[in-house]
Amino acid sequence: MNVSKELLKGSTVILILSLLDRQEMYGYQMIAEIERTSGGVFSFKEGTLYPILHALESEGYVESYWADGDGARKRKYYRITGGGRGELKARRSEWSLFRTAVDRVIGETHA
Amino acid sequence: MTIHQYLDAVCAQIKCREVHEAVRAELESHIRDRSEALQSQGLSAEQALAAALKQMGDPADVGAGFHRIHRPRTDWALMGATVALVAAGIGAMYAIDASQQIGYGPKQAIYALVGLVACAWFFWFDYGLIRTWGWPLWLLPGFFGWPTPPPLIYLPGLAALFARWRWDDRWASGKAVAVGVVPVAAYILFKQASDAMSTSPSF
Repeated sequence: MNVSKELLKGSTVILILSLLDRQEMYGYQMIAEIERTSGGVFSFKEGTLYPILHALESEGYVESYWADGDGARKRKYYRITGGGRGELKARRSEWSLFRTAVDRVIGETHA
Repeated sequence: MTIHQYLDAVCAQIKCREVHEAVRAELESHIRDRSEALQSQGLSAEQALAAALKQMGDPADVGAGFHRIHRPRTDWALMGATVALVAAGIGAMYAIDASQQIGYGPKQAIYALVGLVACAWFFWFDYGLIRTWGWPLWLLPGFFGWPTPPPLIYLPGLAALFARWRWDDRWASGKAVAVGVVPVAAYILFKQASDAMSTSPSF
């Protein structure tokens, strides 16, 4: 089963910032990592990742630099900034609030 | 669809040309990574590329996403400064009028208005449209300004030509100099000739 596009849309930023909080990555690497850790639940058009990355960069949450990867191919790496970490923290607490509230309403409390 | 067609379709949506090259390079490296991964799963090169492009999504959507972020920015500070200077100019002319009654004020106000309208027109008009009219625009002054079109009116034509000039061609620079220099040289020669004729003493 796949998650609907609308549901995913609201969580792409927190996903990207979480990945970059662990490690500097290029776009394809992020997609592969999301695929791997989510068990392929998130299927989205890969090209749409890049405008989001550019938006995060213009907001100052991430920075980018070009580098040669493992092979000879040039890749654009992204790294999280201090501002990005602050945003991630805010998004995380927002997410847990949202999750518990939704769980409570639909009647699936964990606690 | 080839990679280049895909990237062209993405960039067609992005008005800000400065980011085109970086966007292309970034997306191209992703598509190649993906298609290599698919090939290692046993797909042929063509199948892998087609699947990789499909997974990228509609190029128009991707391009629109980039366009939303990389809009050409309006320089409001410059615009504000221009309006302020124009207003100061009008104010100054009215101040002179107040003491000397010459009538500079209204004149200055009308010229300023014409100037601002012209500025606004250039601001909103998509002059990228003239790109396809390079040669006609370049020839036009020669017909209408014959025999001595002032060289400056070749500029729109030259700009349009050079925007689509194939600069990787071996003779590109030489031809560019030719279309740039020929009209100016012709102008100078005709001007000299006609001046010589009109000033030559006639007995």
